[in-house]
Amino acid sequence: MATILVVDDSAVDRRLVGGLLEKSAVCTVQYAANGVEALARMKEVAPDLIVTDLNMPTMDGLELVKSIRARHPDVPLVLVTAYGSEALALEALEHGAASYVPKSQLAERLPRTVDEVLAMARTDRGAKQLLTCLVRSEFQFVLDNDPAMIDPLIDLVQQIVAGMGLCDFTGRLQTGIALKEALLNAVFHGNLEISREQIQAVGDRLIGEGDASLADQRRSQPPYCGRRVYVYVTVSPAEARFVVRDEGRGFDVAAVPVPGDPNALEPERGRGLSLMRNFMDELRFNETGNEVTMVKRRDDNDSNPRG
Amino acid sequence: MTAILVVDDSAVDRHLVGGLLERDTALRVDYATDGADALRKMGAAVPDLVVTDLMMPEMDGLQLVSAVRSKFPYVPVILTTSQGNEEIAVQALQQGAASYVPKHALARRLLDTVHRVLAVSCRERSYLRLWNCISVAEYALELDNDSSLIGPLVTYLQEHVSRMGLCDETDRMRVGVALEEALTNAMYHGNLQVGSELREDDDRAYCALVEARRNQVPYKERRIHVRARLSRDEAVFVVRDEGTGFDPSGLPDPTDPANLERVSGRGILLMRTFMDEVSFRGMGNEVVLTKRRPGGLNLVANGR
Repeated sequence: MATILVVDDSAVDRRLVGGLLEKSAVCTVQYAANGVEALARMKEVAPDLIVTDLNMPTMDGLELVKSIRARHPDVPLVLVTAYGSEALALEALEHGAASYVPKSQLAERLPRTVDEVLAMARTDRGAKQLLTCLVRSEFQFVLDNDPAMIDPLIDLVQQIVAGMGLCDFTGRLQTGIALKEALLNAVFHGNLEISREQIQAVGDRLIGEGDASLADQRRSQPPYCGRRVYVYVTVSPAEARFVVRDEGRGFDVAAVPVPGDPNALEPERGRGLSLMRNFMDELRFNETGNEVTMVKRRDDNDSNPRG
Repeated sequence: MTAILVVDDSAVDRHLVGGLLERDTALRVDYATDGADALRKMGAAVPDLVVTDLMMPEMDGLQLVSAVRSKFPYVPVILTTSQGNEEIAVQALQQGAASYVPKHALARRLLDTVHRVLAVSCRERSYLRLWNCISVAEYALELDNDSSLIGPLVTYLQEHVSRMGLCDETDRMRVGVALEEALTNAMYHGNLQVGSELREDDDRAYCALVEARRNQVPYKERRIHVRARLSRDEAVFVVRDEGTGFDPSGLPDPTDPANLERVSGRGILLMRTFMDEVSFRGMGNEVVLTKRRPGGLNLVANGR
């Protein structure tokens, strides 16, 4: 049964809204007289949805929308707008309110709107719950050398890692950073044979568009353009395993610096490697140096923090 | 170059908006005088973003927003709003406009808003392209007997099958129906061991029994194991329950017209019709469903 929190400074309007909801849907209705009171009651009430008036003293609907989005992003809000408050409603929708109903059409539209928003929120939660049912997940990617694919790939991996509860926020972040280094390395250093210094010099524009940087030229030039990056991702509740292989010429694996000695390679590359080494529990290259395997194991609360 | 289509019936406003946008040399601006004109131009060349006035003859901004949303779902629309039409603006945002800029604040906020929206849509498009880079995806899930998980799972799998290019819209629906049948079958008949005969006789008793067994040993400890493996050539789904199984050959023949109206066997008939291959394994508590790429084997050579 859904719990709905109705926020309105007018007792008459609270009753009106609450009455409509109780009549039409199987739900429990709770009340608050303004935004501050609503925020204070969030914990004890744990609503599935909030219906709020926009114009209230103390804390108005817009402020409430902002606070709820920041603190309880899973709880959707439906606005009740009075004639003349459309500009404010516009702002509230932009800040993340899920929908609105004009006060003059409450009876006709409120129940249906609330149903729709609740259904959407349920689908959303269902999708999240589904992630927690995952026991293993495996993806193989074949990437051309477009750096724009790197961030979405990392996002996808982080979602899966989060869903399986493999590691905490910091762990996920570190996994993302290490994977990004491995992918940048494969695209630029491996396939396009561009040093990381050259990349740094071009900076963010490289990831952007249009300019004829060295990377852009090579992306359409043989032999570079025919090369691909192969990425294998396997995530289980015990570990996440990443294999990244490029089709470049590889490098002298013996020259990979031991931790603390990044001088054996160019500085930027050494930095990337040391991030990968520090953030992952296992890191190894194949003999020719064009394939790296990284493993991130499940966080164990008892184990020592890794440096 | 990023292409922006500016839609406004007033020539003065068109130039005002266009002029502001052209301050950024990376933007190429094109113009339309109302919604209908905009859709014609979009048919010829799809822009990266649309900036539109709300009040226009022929087809107004609100209608344009819904038309763009259905025909060009990846093209974001930004509204320019003037005082007095906030109500329509609110509706347009609900119908899918990406953002809005009040006309009196154009000089201050338009370029900034355009850049913000472009950044988001660029990210979204990258996601879609990433799907094209997936050559194989495989996952395993374990579900308890909670029917509310079936819907989201079916939706997710359907989406994945269509993104891998394994089905068109009609097929997508059929794949969904077949998966839903397999999952509900595993949950109700397999794990909870509630027979469909009961459902034919007395639906209320059926539901009550389902509810009771959800909390009863041994039923409540049983899980549904789902494995999906998708490549560019086929999708294979394995659904296994922990029930006592059944003898698939003992089902009433679903092709016999006399049995068409019966609930039992209907699910399996649907699975067989909508998938390319269906087989039962083990004690009948594991079903393997295969959906192949239409046109199949001769396309394999092109798949990467």
